[in-house]
Amino acid sequence: MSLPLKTILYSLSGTPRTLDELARELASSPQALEGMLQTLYAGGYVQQAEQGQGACACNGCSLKSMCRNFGEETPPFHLLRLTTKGERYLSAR
Amino acid sequence: MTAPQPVQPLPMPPLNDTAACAATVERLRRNREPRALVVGNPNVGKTTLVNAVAGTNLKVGNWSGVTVEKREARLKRGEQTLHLIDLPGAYSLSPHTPEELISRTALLDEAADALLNVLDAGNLERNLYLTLQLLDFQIPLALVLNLVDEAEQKGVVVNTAVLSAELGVPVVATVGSKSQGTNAVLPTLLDQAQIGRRVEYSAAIEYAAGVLVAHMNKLSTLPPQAHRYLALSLLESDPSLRGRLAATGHAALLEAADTERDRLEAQGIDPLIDIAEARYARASAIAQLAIPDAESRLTLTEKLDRLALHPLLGIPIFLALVLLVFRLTFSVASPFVDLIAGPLQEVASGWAVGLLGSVPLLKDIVVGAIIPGVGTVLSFLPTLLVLYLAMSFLEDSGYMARAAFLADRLMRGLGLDGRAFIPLILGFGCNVPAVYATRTLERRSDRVLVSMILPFMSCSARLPVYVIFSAALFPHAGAWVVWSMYMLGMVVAFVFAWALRRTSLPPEGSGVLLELPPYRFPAWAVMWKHAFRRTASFAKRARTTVLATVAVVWVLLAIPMSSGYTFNQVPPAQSLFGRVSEAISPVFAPLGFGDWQATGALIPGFVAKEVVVGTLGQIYLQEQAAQVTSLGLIQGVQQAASATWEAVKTSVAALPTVVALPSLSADTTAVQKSPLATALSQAFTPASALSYLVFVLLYTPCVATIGAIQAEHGRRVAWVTVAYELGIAWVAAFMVYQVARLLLP
Repeated sequence: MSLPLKTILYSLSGTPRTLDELARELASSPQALEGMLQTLYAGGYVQQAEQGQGACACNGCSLKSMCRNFGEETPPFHLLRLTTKGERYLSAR
Repeated sequence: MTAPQPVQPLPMPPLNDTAACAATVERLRRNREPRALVVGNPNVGKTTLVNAVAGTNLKVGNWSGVTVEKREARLKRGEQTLHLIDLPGAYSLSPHTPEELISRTALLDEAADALLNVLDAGNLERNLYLTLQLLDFQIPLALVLNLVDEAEQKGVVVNTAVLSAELGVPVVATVGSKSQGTNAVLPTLLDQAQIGRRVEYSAAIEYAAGVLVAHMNKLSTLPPQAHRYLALSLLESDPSLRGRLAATGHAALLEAADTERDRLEAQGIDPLIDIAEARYARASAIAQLAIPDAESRLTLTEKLDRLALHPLLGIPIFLALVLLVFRLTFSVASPFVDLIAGPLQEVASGWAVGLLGSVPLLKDIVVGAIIPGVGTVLSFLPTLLVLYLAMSFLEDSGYMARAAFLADRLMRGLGLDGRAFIPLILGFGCNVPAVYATRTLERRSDRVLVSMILPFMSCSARLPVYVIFSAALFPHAGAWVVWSMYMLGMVVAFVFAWALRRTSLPPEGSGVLLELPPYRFPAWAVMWKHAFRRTASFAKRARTTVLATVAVVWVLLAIPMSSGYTFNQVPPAQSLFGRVSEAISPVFAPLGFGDWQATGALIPGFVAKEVVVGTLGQIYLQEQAAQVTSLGLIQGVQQAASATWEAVKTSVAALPTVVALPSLSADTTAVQKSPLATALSQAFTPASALSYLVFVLLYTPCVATIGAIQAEHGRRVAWVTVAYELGIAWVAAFMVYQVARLLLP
């Protein structure tokens, strides 16, 4: 089921989320959302919240020594967050 | 003879005559063989389809990105020749991957006569986004609905007639890998492809696009069939397209596009969002019409989750799986534990006696402390390796995420923060990082409460104690005994949390959003890597903490407390360690293990729980250590190799017992045990052994955990934790002993 792109942007505002989290929150499927997120990504409205950066840094996490997401392997959970452009878009509406 | 006439040059069109250039291009186009571009999302079977249609052998893969450049197949139909150009997979024509850029460039530059759009029938809505972009090109289009077999397995049946009517282009259903329907692809593409029904955008967007198309109509440098697509992409401010147009002298067009964008934005319209939303809405509408009654057949993951997350069956399934893990651990690893603790230790001791015979004190430390102490702890490496492999399987298969989901529900039922399950599950590995993990909880009261119940979660350091006692006294029900210890730890933790919540800390539980990945079969290499890393961490502790502790215990066992004995020449019971242990032992008499040996092993257990078995090894095997004789290298290797082969055979033969029924009675068979297990079976009864295990499970955690609690929550909380856990351990062990001695022989 298609969702307005604005809904996705609202869901990502404030809190970075993974694709699965978004799908569950919006009662959609990851497959359906993936294309829309790519559109928003290509348009510069969302970005990957990379580990080690900003609020998503592993450095402050007490679990990092046991976490397979930290360091050596490709993180299985890709966090997405709004870009400044995405935030600006929402604040204008 | 006449003078040669000067050669007159032929009249040539001026190089800047764009009309002449366009005429030449058109003439060449008319004369060339027709070309069709094959376009589609990644992994929809484009290359397989091309191979099936053209009889070629282009490389195919079952994952995205196999085709990373365009490739061409030439085929004939009667007298007609067609070039099929296989393009890399693209989710859209707003490129942000190299593959998408290649596809978009080909659409703009190849002057295709027709487009063949391949779609995944099981993922129609998503695939239609690209289709709707293709319809913005004024190029005849035909659709291939591929993978219809997989879609039907998922309960998705697409009505191709409706799809065709909605899009205004022909549609062929195929299964490319089985060449089903592929015969119809070429005739449809050559004879029926047509310019379909394009998306109608909002009036403001359509007006702006019209302005830009009108601008482009005055230019001969841009392909006419792409004008509408280019106009929309410029309104979307596609950076790669803008770069290309700027480099080819289209500054005026870009300025016009900027003007239109500014005008739209002044009306509160974001062109990119508006255009994309119109396409998604149209794709959704078409998908709903073409798949009117999707029966949403359950996927394997959904079927498994119906069981794994069932409100009533979920927890029993979790407990049964944990039991299965322990049974597997016992069946496969026990023979190797006995091998290391028995024959291999004997060989190592024999070699040590031979090598260090001239240095008696060093020989005594190695043979009397390090080998029985550290060696006993290390003998559990196979157990841990198998356990960690099994746990990695559960984690990587996706099941542990479900277990966390179940635990979360339970947590909230007890009035705990839903996120408390993370440190509690971590506590099964090691309590120390689990205490630090309580930082993820928002309120201090939650952090303190979870830290206080965490030590009841049975960490891997306690496993060797359970295993050696189970092997000694419950060889036919070892897995059940270990499983019971883990369950008891959880029950005590939850009861304690429940009681605290109702006495001092009101519940304010909150939900937590959990990732539930699809089930998959884990990669062996990854499982092995995780299991090996965790086992290596345990081995490291054996050569640091455990080594230091057994050395101290050895010194304490060597200090005489009675006259007539000298250092290292004293019976253990008369040593400082023996005397102190004996003084404390009456406290434990009501628990069934009131002798100094059992009591003494608990004392260094404060340092690290695995030291309990190391100390038991030192105490019970000291007599044997004194009798060890020198062993030659070859003889030792032969002895070790023979014992290893026996262990392998026993391990393989024991596999069927994974599903055998338990027996809680004491062992009466002649099962071969390690020397320590034999000693323990003589020193303990089944009831006192169970009591001992319960005490080891529940009594004060190691100093590192206490240190972590103190660092996180202060000294008071740390001391309170030490005190109440000792109390709870004593009471629980007493109750278990009193009940068990009535029930067990």
